[in-house]
Amino acid sequence: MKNGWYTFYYMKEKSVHHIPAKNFAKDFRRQLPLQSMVLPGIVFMIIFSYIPIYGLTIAFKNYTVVDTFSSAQWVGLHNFEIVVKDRYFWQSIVNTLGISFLKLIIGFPAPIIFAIMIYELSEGTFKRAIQTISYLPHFLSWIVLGGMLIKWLSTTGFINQALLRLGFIDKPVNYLLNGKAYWWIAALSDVWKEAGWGTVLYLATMAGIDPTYYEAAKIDGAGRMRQIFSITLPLMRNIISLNFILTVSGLLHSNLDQAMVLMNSQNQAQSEVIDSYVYRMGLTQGDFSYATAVGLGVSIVSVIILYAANKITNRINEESVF
Amino acid sequence: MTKKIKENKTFSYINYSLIILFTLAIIIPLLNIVSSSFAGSKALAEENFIFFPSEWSLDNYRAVLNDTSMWSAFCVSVLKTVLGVITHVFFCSMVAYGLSKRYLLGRKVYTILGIITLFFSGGMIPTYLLMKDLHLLNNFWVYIIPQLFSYYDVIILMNFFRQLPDSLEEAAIIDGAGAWRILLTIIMPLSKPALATIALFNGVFQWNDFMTAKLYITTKRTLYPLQMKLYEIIVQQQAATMNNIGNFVVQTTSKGIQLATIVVTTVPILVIYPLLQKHFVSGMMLGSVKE
Amino acid sequence: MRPQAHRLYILFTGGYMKKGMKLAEGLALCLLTAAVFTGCGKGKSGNTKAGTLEKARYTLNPETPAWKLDPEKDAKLTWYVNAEWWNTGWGEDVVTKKVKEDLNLDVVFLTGDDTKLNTFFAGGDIPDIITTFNASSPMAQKAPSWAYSLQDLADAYDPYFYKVASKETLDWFKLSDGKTYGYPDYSNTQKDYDSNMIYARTAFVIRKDVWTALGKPQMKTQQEFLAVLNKIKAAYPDMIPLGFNALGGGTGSLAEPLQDFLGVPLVTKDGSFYNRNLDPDYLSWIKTFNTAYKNGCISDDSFTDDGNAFQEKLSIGKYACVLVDGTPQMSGFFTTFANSEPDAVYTAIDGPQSTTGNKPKLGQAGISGWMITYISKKCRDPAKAIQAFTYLLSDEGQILCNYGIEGQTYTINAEGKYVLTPEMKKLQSQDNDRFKKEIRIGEFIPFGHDRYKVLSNDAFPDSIKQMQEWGKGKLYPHFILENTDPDAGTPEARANSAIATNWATTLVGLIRAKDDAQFTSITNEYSSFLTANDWDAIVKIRNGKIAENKKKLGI
Repeated sequence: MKNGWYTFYYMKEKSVHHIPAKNFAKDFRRQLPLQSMVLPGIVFMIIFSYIPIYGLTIAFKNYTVVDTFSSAQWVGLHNFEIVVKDRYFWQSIVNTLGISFLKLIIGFPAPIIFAIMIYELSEGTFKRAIQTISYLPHFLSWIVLGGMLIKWLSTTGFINQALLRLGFIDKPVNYLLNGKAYWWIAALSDVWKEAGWGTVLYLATMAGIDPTYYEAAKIDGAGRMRQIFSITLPLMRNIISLNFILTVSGLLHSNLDQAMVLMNSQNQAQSEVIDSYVYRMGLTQGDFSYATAVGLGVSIVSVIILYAANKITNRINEESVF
Repeated sequence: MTKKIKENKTFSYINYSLIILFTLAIIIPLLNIVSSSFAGSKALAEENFIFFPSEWSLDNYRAVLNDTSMWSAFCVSVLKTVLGVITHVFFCSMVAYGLSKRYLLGRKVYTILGIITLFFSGGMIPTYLLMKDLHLLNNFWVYIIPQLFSYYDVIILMNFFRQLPDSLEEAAIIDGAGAWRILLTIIMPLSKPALATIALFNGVFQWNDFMTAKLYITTKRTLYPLQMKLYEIIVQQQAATMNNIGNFVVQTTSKGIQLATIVVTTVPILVIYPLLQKHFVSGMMLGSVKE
Repeated sequence: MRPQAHRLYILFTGGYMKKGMKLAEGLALCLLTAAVFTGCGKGKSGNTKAGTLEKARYTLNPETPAWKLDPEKDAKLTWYVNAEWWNTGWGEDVVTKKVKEDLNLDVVFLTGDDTKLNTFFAGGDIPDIITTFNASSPMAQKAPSWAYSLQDLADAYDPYFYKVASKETLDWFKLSDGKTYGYPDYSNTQKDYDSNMIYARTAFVIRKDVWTALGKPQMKTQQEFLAVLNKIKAAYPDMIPLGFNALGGGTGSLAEPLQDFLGVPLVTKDGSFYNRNLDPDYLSWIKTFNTAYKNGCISDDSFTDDGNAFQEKLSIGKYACVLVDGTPQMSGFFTTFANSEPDAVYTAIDGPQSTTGNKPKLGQAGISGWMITYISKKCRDPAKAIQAFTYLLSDEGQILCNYGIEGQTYTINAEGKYVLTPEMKKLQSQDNDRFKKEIRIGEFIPFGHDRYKVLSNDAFPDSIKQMQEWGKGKLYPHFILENTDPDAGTPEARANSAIATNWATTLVGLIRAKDDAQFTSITNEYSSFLTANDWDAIVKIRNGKIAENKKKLGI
């Protein structure tokens, strides 16, 4: 009992201010059961994530379809220069950020609110049915959903029909031809597709909340809204923070499938996102280097954003979610 | 007291009505998609119906389900999903448990290593070459082994494990249990919601995934999962319009087929989810430990 | 969190913090360096084999195709096709079964896209035969490094190849070392254009019932065009008067096909590059389309519809008139409509004509063809590969691929035309999927050519026969403009891509312009966009390539 990893538990009772570093090996041995659980994961990451990372060197080379990694010619930062000097690249960044921000503002709270609403329903078939229906859109591929959206937003589609019948407009409008509407179309359709699925994680978290908290609160006279704000939300803090951090660091990510389907020549100035631009400029010309360079740049910026977001949420919560 | 009851009732009414509104917003377009998959090609082109096309037809489904190799692909899909999910959940839980202890040596290093994998990837080409070197090409295990670990899932499980009170573990330690015993007999049973979530995410991924097959199964086509076969059908539908061979080939609306494909793949998930749902019910912890 | 645990946390991460961070940085650096070095080592088992050809295992004979002479009974080859829709079966259907028997060859097909193709190159196992779709890609240009030249192979293994391959095509595909590496399908030479054996694939069509009801009016001049569209709009409120191919991010049938109808010149009088998009005749017709749009004769939906939506509209006859590009590809949908409303079949008529007296210059596949097939230097059996080329290019092979086996799938009727047997016809119309899988005629096309389609009246569906008749005599080779885009990966190529996108936006904007002022301003914006994006450099490159083409064509 004295030498296992669980001895660390007992150290809580003593006031220990620092541990000399040379005990590292001894402590490691004590923690061996835990370490042996973690190490396979590390090995996995090294094999499947780190070994292939040499692929990022393509960003510094001139790599075409017939090249191998050693035969492609080294060009240093040339690809990055091209990307940075390209006006349309920056425009695609603006579009990506615009759509991502909208998705963040609408799409981040939506699953949380929806999850709480479902949670507050009483158990039964209705609740289960609602849950099942809510995540069905997640299974649609953008190729199919995009095609349907084109139909729905066309002048004969049901959105126009509904608006006409309700008297909001007097002439049907093809919304996809209006560039200004694009960011909203992209963001809202994505929220529609993913909000239901997003509730799964939050509902699971809420299921782990001890019901005695609610009972105590009810006895103290708290109403439902009060309970939500004082119990449910605070206890979901960690998961919400985690998702927030990851969503914010994903601001530069774009939905290639959605963009490729919904983009047309009239909304192109607003619909060209980073991934679709890279696809057009890079991959269709067989220019892998261009695509990799942009991907590398986006990853680096995302990690920086992640670091910042993590620091901020650490101040709000007491502990890191990582 | 009556004020509280009234407040609760109002809350319920508002909650129910809002939910019904949101659900309608989801379900109406969905029903449109489902009825479109059953529509005859003429009705599909008319595009004026919302739920009831003038012409019902099973042609799309016939095109999708006619292929007999579809059933072996179905078996491959089921096998890879079940096996993949079980191994993935165990592997991630194991790693997450270790990482959930804040006194684990090297945790910061592990965390940074993990975060980097979330953002940086070498890309498809080096990954393909790696799979080749690992002899995972044209091999069923390419569906399982690369899916064993996901850092995102580990973080979720980690946070969940941390929420469990220490007193449970302490009680077990006093009884002489080792780390593995604690993980398997205490931690995991109490984390059913989180495990179910991870299982669902990974299960859906395994079921829907066709990229793995597309990239790594080149010659042994018996290893194609259901989604890959359906993808092939859709893509080959477009082949006819690609070539100058309009002569000998008859077109079915490929959109109708795509929709039928979606319905066919989603139905099994609809069947499985209710079984998992009971794990999302709260109150798991009740009675386990008295604080 | 409880204070003790909190202290614990600070303790163990604080105590080792400095060490931890250094450790983390150190580890990361090590991993990255290791990764980079692994990358440098990768692919050393590169893609350059010796590339020397062994002596043939049989005696060569220029009068006999080598596949008849080769004693090898058990050849195996991998064949990569850079398209996901390729049917990968071999030996199970009528066509490939016969090829397998005759050549004693077993083929394993691989499919994929550019990324997949690169994994083969990067990993060092390049497939034996490779088919791609781009004659001017870096891959095609670098062919000498990874493929055998067809001349070398023919000289070493199959001199009969020269008899079945078209000389003009071989010359067209010659690279700077004077050798040809890839061979295309559907490569049409001047001879083919002159022979009237290839058909037009664009048309301006109108529903027969509408046309007859209006008194078979002309739609050749701009005034007539607008007048007829207006009449259609008044008389048939449920139809969309004018439609065109789905744009799909490009220009559909509104740019090049329309320019071809109008006979807009391909090059200037002294043979240099001409921007057809700014041709005054063409722009005046776009102005007409703009008026039609303002009159409500063109629907906004046509600009956002995807390919599926366009095909659906064709099959129900939603459009009264259509400017169609790719009639064979749309033939199935025309047939569906024709079957449901036989009086309303889409009929080709003389649509927009040049206001300056130019004759139509309809385009078709050029010399560059479509699918280009190479034999790689890693080919296990280059002799068998070139024999396969010869076999499939020969009349015998092509008739097999297009019609199958005489007596089994087709017969020759009294007029010498090839006709499918009644069973085949039944299978084709009732169970098309099985027809595609088990018979596969008309589908195995890496070496196909349209000249074999004229052997049969069934090669094209009835629904487009009249459109093809209409196109007779109106074809004009566009060879001189083939492969004139700037090389991929250059700044000019990127600028060109941006210009193409801008043109697509411009064109739709012109048709939807609210008034003349907007029309002019959009046109001017396009012109300034050209200047701002290296247009002069692009034109120079194009002129250079046009000159090269002229040399190859012997003009």
